[in-house]
Amino acid sequence: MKHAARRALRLATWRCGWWLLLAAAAAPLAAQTAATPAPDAAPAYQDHYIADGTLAPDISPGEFTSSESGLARSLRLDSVLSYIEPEGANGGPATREDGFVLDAQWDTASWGAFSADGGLRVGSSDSGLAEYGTGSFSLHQRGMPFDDGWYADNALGDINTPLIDLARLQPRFILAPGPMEGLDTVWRGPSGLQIVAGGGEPGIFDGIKIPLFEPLGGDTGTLGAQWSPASQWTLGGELAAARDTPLYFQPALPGFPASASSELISSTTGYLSAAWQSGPSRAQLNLIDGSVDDNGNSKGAWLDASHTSGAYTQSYGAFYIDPNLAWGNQLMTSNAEGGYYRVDFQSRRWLWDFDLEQVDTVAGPRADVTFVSADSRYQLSRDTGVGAVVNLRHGDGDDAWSVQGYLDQVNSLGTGRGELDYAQDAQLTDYTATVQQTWKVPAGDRLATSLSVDRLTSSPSAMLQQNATVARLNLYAGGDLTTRLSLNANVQWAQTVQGEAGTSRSADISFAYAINRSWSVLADYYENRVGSWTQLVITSPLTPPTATPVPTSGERGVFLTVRYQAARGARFVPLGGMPGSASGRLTGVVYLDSNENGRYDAGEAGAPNVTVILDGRYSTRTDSNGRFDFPAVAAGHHVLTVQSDNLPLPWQLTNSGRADVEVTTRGTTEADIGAVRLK
Amino acid sequence: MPRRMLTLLCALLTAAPAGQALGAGFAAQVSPPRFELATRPGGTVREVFSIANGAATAAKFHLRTADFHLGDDYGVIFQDSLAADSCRPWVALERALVPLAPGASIRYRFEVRVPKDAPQGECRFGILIEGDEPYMAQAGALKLPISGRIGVIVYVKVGDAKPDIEVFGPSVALVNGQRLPTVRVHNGGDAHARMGGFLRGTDAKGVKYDFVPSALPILPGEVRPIYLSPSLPGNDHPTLTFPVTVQGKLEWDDQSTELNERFE
Repeated sequence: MKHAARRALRLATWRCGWWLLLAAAAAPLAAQTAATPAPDAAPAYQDHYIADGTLAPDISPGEFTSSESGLARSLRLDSVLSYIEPEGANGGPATREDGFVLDAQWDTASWGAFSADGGLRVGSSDSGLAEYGTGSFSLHQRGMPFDDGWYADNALGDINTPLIDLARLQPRFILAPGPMEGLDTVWRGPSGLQIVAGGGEPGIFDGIKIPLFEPLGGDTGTLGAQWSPASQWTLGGELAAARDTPLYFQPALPGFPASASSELISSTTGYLSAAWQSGPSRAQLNLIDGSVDDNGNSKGAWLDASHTSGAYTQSYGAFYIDPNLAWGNQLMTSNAEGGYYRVDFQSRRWLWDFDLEQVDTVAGPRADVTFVSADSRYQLSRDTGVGAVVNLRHGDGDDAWSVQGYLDQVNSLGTGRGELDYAQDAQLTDYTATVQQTWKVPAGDRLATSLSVDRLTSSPSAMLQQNATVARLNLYAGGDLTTRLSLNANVQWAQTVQGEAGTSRSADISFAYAINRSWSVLADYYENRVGSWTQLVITSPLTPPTATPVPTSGERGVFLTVRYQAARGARFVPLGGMPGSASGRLTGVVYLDSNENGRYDAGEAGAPNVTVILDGRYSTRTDSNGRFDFPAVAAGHHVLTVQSDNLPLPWQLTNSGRADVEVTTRGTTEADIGAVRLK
Repeated sequence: MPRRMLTLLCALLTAAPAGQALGAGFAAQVSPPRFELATRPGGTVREVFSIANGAATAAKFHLRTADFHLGDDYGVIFQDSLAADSCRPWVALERALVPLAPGASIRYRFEVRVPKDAPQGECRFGILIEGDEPYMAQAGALKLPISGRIGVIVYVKVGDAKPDIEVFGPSVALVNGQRLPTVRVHNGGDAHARMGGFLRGTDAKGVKYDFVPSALPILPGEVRPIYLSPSLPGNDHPTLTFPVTVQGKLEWDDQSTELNERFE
């Protein structure tokens, strides 16, 4: 019997040789998997060992996934203790954000996949005022199947109003879905048919570690549908209404909270759209009609078209939107007319684009603005690239321009960038020199730093004095310090070295220690202090330059979290997989890509509380650092979709928030998804 | 025993993605799969890689060093015995045996102590991670004992070692059924090289392409073909019409050479 086995092994060895060679040739840069040693007659070599092999092993406690069979389900429950104290002129008493955070997912055989997210804030602030019961909760059901090819997505709790895909996938103007406490349903059927409906009480998402929902009062609701009557055509429409509720304002800058107006409004708005696509050409016409309070009817129309030919993509459009329009209780671009043309070129060596846009107001004081933007990058060699960006904004008394030049280089320590920026508007001049480095670190770890000096000079006529020189240091680091202890840190620090501008600090430093497979402890230090200056940025004809002096204010705190997490059945039925299929971890960060280099650099902010959907079926939300995590995903190709609902304006996801990823068996796949400023 | 079935089984077993090996008794994930390091004579480099046990049962992994060379088709061939120019005596591993619970992982350490009198050159070796026992692989009704193994490849440049590349011999090669412009390169230096660069070219129909050189390792003293694969926006596998002219820079390490060749 032993003889037969040895003979079979020898035969397998001989036969496998060819395949090993082919496999090695297909992936010669990676580790080699071998089923047989090469013929080797000489005696084997005896290895040396560090400290004679007496080093204590650094071994992790293992994955939290158990090996039970069954459909995939997972649970993560955080218990959070905190202490937060305000900083700056607007300081008040210290507060607490204690409570619980829930993230659960479970798959079903015939009812689709369920996700539950929530936060419950308990306890009291130091002011002695009880704050029981403030929190948020949402339950999503995705991919519930019906006969004849129909699927339904349903949700209840603290969610966002639904939009038809035609309204969501806009290249130029956004219809923003608004946070609400209520219900929604989305049905998808044959011929591209989609029906959406939802309604509830508008509100605002808030909270640092514990997601909170603050209701604003009033009602909002929407009803819409789209379908494809022919393969190249999609038609759709949606109606949104809000009653007796404040207008919602997106955060003006990263780190700022969302806000709402003090006055109540009522609005009714209708939207119609027709899209045509044939190969690389696409066009979409949008019509909108609505009113806010009793201020009369307002109308709007915009046409977007694009065509890709080889390395070139040309986009163009025209728009006319009356003033006084809202989508539910969400502000939308209004009182604007004009057009734009954009051309992009992309090859292995060259990347460039040119953007020309003309915008005027429809009513009120004329604000005729011309905006020109050019962006180019040239790869000098395999390791070195150079680029330049120019933005010009010419308007009535509001001229501004900026220029940026940079050099990217792969060096022995990682990847570096040197960058010079100059920006000027009617009141301010801003020079900035920046050095960035993404450091070469062991696999699985991350370290990026940036150092910059910013010189702001205001004109004598400026209302706000802002002469200052500011030094900024940004750090982004993360990884496993040991197999049990991991670190994730995002620190931004700006110190005034000349002048009187206030110091700006932002930090989110998190240590996580795994006690065993199910339990871990996280310690976080959080600080958000906005200085009395911001860098001058010129990005859009619709958005004035963003140097906005604000009073120095902020808050800082510490959080201690005890986390329990468990997954069942995931090893055999991972998310998106079949029973028995292999799985890996899919994690990443949704971030605001300020320099638009497609990489998460030090100094760039994560986007918190953003919904990330895997394969249109399983969802999770990003944490305060913008990070998301799917612990057990079937190995292979998957599509991540990020909903832009809670992104701060004027940020927009590239590629409609879609990212294609390959998950490797038992590996960790990192998928960082950047948002760029809407131009 | 039908050899066709054995061949199929071997194909299935070796079709696993690089860096992992699958099987009921051997389910290791190793990261990273390759190190490219540098130091001076007398210097020491220390590195860490992770080994994870993806099996539902506990596993033991044996680790040892091996010399290696590349076959004609870039297949890695490991050698247990000490090669004539081996630097494995400079290498120290953390331990020989690693037991791991289901789902557990270890940060495994190794170091390379380069002697003070070591000549300039490149130290190359592999670290083999092997399962405790052969496991039974099954294809249909056939069961076979197979030993799982993963090799981590380590390159350490010592001193000012660098490749010295000579490019010659434009030709056309048939690769996966597609005719590709090809040059041959000789590495007369004392460190391995990987080719890169930006090349532009035009085929007989006047279509302009970017060309991507194959980036497989060229060890010192070796002569290897470098395939120039055409690329178009939105099409990574266009078909060329010969003759083809290609111009641009071939790059390796911190060096480059101009290429201006006609392939027919």
